[in-house]
Amino acid sequence: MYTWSSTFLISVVSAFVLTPVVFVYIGIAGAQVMESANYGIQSDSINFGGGLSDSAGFSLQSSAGEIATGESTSASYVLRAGYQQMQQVFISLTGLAAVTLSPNIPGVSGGVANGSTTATVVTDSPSGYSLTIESQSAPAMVSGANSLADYNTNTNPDYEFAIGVTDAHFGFSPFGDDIIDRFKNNGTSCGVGSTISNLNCWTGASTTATVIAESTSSNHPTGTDTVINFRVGVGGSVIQATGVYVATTTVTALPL
Amino acid sequence: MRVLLSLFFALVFMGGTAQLCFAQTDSFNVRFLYGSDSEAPTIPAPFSVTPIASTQIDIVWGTSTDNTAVVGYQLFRDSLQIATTTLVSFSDTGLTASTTYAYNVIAFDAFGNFSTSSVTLATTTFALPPPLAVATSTARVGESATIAQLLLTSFEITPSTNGAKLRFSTNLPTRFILRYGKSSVYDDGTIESPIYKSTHTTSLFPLEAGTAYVYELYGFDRFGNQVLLADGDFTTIALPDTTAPANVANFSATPIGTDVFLRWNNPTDDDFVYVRIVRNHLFYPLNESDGFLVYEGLANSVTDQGSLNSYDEQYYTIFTYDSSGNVSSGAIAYAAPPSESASPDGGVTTGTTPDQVIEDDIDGQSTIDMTVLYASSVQLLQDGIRQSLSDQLVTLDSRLPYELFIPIEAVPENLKTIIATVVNPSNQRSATTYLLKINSKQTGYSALISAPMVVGSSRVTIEMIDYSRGTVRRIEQSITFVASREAAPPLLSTLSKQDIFPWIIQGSVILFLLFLLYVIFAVRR
Repeated sequence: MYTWSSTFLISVVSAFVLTPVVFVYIGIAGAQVMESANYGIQSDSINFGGGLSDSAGFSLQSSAGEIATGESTSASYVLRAGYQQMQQVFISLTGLAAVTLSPNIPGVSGGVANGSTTATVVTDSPSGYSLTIESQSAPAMVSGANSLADYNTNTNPDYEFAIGVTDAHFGFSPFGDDIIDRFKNNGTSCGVGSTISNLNCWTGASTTATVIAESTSSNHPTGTDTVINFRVGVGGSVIQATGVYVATTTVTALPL
Repeated sequence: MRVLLSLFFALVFMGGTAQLCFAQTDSFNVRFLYGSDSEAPTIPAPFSVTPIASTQIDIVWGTSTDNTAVVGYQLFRDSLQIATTTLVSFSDTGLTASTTYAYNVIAFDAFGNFSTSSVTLATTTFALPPPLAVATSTARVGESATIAQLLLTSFEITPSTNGAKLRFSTNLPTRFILRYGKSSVYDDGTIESPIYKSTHTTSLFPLEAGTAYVYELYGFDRFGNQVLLADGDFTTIALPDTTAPANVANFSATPIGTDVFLRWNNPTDDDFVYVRIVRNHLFYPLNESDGFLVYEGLANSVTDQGSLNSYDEQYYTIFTYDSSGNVSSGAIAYAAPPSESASPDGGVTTGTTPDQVIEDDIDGQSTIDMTVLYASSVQLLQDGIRQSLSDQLVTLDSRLPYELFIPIEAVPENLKTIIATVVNPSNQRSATTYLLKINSKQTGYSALISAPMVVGSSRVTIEMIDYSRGTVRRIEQSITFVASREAAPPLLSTLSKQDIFPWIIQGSVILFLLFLLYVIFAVRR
């Protein structure tokens, strides 16, 4: 039998002990319970009961399973059946805007034009998110029938945006706390080292979604900014048609 | 331990207000100008200006071309720029009646080259209407107006469950005001369009499902005269029926040799359509597909032949269906040869002789977590009145169905099964046992039980069962079915110490934490 004082003491001690334990666990639990290259299981549970029953006339695979099965709705389908259902996840992508590269590059001497936009991702997904970029066309930067070639799409981006006198290229470089290792550098090369620096590690756009940033934990409610720098470089000996060149670009934030 | 922590972790997030989302996507253009361009776009042509009303003139022009690309147009009224647009038309509103305005338009490209101006054209807005004009026309589709010339040429209103879409056309450009509401006061909303057009589309939102609304639609002719174009009513679409039907009453399973005789009374719900009986030799079928189908139909009894041939015991669940496809939580019964016909382990009843043993404490070997289900959490809902099993006197109207409901937060998270046994008030040796199933709103476990239609004393037993089918918690209370219920709501004084104990603990912790915060702030100052 509890007494009032002992109960009160237990309650207070429980509150002070369990709260940090829970929050520490939240902090380190992070990603999936189980995962492979393509799939992750967000949470698991132990079920019991049921089983296979056979007779001469029939075979029954029965279940003494859960009656608290949940939500299975909508045209796009959200199935969260079962006890310890997949938790609901919030994610938002804001801040992106049209980019006008400047300055205009005159047709005589060539030059470099720059611009940028910022993607802000907020998610409470305990497994984090990934941010991808893709272009609508290949090459990405087009003006009617004319186009500019995409910058190299090698595995490792170029640390500096290099343009030869006969080159005309369009590329991008992400910058932010969550950029993936491919865009980090050691001061001279990308894909090695852990330095995150602005306006380094350039690569070309692709019609296939390219991951530029990734996180393995929630960033709610502050969110994380990723700056996407764009650059066009035209060499002095290039003959390029005058025009308004446009690269229609899509950025996607996906909860993990 | 990891599983328990995962569960807690999941619950922390599920308790929040976050919404389920998949990927978020945004597209944008990266623009770049290359080379030098001094070539101006062509002149926008043809160019026209048309008075639409006493307050509006519409301007339309042809597309310009350029060696690079035209990116927009500048529109001028009386030499003052009034708009920049990428479109090739514009409605200039808010003008003065009987006034002449002159318009011209210029195209420009991305390099800052501007075309030569289009021709400048002038026109005059319509005069104000003569003083007589008030709403006198109640023209309908297909009818002719007596005074005003403005007429409806088509009208369509399409209700949905939470709104309605309105589309109408008139013989002349018009702006409109639409008022709507559940009564002729039209106080649920007003939609006003300031643009004179001949075809309008608008949405009324939000509206209540399955509700009748009335509306009136006024148009304004080119002189500003107000004309009643249409009035009438519509009803939004009712939400689908998601309420489960009541369970059957007096479901029993009586072994006769190797057969089992099943008997029940169907519910009196208007939309009840049939029952489905499912059996399983392992445990009570928890849903309509969890076992061997025994019977579907409208009968009140059936013999399950030879079901005890292969197995020593059989568990039956009977579900009721309504015309919307909703399924009841299920009533259950157990059958075994006479020598083994005692209740299965854990006290689940046969449907004929309920076990009356009350277990006050949780079984220490149970796999159910330590959350305790209290009698105060077990609610009986009938005709808008809520009682609980902790009430000293529970009285129900024998003529009405009632619902047994347990809030989801009042039961263990890893709960598997809750059953309720109700003794027949007309026969104390007979009882029906029901499964409690989580409701569609995920707010609790529920079973809707048919009206017994007889007065008398009864008894409700709530049992939580874990995977080994042992009863780990049982709550029992006497109830009385009367011809007319006059039960008073439960008084605070009737609550047991056990019921208010958790409140005291939680309140104490909150007060202590508030005191701690106060001390911290006081010290920091």
